[in-house]
Amino acid sequence: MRLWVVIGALAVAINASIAEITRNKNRGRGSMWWGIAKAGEPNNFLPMSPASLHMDPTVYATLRRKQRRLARENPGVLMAVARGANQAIVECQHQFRNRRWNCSTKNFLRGKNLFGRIVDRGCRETAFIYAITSASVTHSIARACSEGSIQSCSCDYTHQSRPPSTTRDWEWGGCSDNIGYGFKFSREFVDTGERGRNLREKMNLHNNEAGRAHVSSEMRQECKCHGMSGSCTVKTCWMRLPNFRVVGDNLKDRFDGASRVMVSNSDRVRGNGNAIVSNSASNSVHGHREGLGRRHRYNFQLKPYNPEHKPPGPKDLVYLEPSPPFCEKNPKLGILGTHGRQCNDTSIGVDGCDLMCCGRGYKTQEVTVVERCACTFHWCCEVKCQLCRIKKTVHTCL
Amino acid sequence: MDNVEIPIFYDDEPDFMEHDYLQDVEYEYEYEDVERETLFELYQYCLRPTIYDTVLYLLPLFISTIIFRLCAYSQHISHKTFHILSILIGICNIYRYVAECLYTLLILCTISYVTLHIPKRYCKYVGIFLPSLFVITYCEFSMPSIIWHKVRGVVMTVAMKTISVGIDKFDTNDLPNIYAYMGYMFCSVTCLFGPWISFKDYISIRYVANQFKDKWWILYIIQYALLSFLFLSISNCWAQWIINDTSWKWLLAYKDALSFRMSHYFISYIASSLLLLGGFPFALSTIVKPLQIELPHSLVHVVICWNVPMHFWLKTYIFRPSIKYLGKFGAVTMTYLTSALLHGLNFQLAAVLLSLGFYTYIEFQLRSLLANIFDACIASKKCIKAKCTHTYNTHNSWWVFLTNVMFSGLSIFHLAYLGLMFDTSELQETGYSYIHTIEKWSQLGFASHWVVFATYCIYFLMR
Repeated sequence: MRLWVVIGALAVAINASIAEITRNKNRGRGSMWWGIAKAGEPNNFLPMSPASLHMDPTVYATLRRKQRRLARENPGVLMAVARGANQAIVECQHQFRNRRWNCSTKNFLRGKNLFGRIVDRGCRETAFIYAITSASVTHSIARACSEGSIQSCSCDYTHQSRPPSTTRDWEWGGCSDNIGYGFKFSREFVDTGERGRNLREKMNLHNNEAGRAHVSSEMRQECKCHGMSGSCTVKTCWMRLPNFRVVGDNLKDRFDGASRVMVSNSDRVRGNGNAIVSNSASNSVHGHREGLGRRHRYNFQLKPYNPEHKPPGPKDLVYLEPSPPFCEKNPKLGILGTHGRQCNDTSIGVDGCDLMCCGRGYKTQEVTVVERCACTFHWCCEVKCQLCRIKKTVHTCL
Repeated sequence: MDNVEIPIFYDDEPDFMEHDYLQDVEYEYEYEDVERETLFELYQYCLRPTIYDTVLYLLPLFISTIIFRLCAYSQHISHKTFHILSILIGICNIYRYVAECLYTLLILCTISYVTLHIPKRYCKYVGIFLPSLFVITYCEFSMPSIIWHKVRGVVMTVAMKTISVGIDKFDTNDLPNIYAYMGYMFCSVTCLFGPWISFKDYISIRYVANQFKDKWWILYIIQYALLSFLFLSISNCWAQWIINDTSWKWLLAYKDALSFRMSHYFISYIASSLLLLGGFPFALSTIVKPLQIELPHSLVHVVICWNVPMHFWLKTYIFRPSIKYLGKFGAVTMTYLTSALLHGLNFQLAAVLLSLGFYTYIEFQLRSLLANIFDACIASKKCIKAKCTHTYNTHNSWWVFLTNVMFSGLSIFHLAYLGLMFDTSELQETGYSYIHTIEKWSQLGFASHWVVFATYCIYFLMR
């Protein structure tokens, strides 16, 4: 009996170490599709027009089998995903323009991750990347649906009976299914590689879900009353898809307050040498062998690293390990360092020269910039500008 | 959340192995401007649901109005049957749209009909107002605020009708029979969205309808309906789309006020098209004059054009009788006070209406004073071209035109300030509270009230 226990413990230890070694592979499986943002760009190997996106082999190289199937079955979806990926990059770079890590992207090459190897680590930045990409796919798909460029999401007007409201004077008559379709599609497409087998995959799943939750909660219904002198005899309502900048801002707030999570209880029991692991449903590799049903995939609760903190909510971002320093160049993680970055000499925040340059100091240059100025509006509809030469002081990190 | 780590400095793991790798070219992305809803999204999320919902919602009302028209035009049914049918259709409409106030309306009509029978010496002018004011006060305090805010307009229309009948009877001593009276009160065409029409107009539909046969009436109805939906779409969608949420605060105030005004035009034009469809003559169908309000000559004009039948009612039944006892200023105050009471005891409406009362009074006095001094057409009321007694008018001197434009601008400013509180906040369903009003106004620094105060000082010094 004791022998079995020992063997069991050994097996678990081996499995755990395998999981440790293959961590780097695990992370990227669901995230290669980010490369789609670069597909179709002229400086890629194969210059392709966006229309032929579905034929582009470099695109297909980034997609998993299931994602290819989804793209094949839903014509038009790939364009929306590509647009969403680009939107995510733009938004990420906007949100992090003043920070040491500025969400830089690599030239997309086959087999490489778009955001560099920072995503190998389960740090805050990775959490943000996953959340923002998932959110922007949801957003972009919902938008494409409303524009009618995806055929498989149609607004079925027969299916929108809502629970009767208390005032019973209004029923939603518009197309509110788009956001639902975006949500569902994003789950299918973005979460493909993440099965929730280990902690890192759970982290990815949680952050993807958080990104989607931010989009769908910002989708808001607005109503207006009409009636004699401001009374409310007739009430009409409509929907508004959120501006993606708002979603980005909210996610950035969550980034600042992200929760560090750790292995859940069952794993720790295992670490104590207690070999009875069969009930550790989620985290061990065994759980995978039993096969995780789709329903269980999103059904987990992560545990905060600091037991005094609250467990993360559905809209919070979670991460596993502290971020690496972004000051110096670190090719192993694909970090460019802050050499040559512009900084603001008057600011005391992260964009200030002291923090941005990590104390290495900075050089100041006078640069002449040509800008458009003295713009006037001509009826109708043209704006004419002059070109002005302006001297600017630019500070760059050493 | 996680306060243990400092989010900015990442110095905890300094030792990484150096490793050569292919340094790729970094991409530069241009930041797009903050995107705005596309036209298609506007259509998808706002225009289509708004129009679609409203048409579906109002369809039964239009159908019932057509039935009413057929009843009114039919020669085969007696007057009494017509009135009974009118009551039935009206009650059906009220039950369909505002069932909450059906009993209130029945009680109000019964009490006011009974008071008509009280002999003149026991019942003064004030007695005619008492039932309506009592019922409105009762509703204000006993009904849940959401429901009261919903049915307010309906109760107000009926109250105006009872008061007008009461005063007419007071003057002419001619008592309508119960069927005609109730038919008038519950007349399905006017019971929901107004406007107030006189008892005489209601009775004469049986006679007028047969004489008045304009071939193009259906085109007028379509025109009114289309315009009303245009105003609805401006109120719900276009105003929000054109003026961003991040604009200058006065522009935002203008947007909210614009949205409110457009909502009012929507209701008024729906009421107009219903009146025409119900068989009422074309002369009654002008309720609101949007152009005169959007580009106002003066605030007085705005008040007149805001709701023409209501203005007529206030002038006939409140202003003229009370001017004998109270003088001009008193009569103006009395008129706006009555209007505020009829709208329910809502602080925001009362504040807006009373402010408007003072504004119009001061504007009227100042402008007539200026018109006399400079002998120019710059008074609050437009000079009629043929009968202009002033030497200078807009056609022969530019400064008269300029002054009028300036006063118009001032009116637009006041309107933005007064109308901005009817926004789409949570409060729109329950009625706006006292705090909401003060907060909104204090955000703009009570600017318009100060301007009016300054105007008054100028007037006082010139007098």
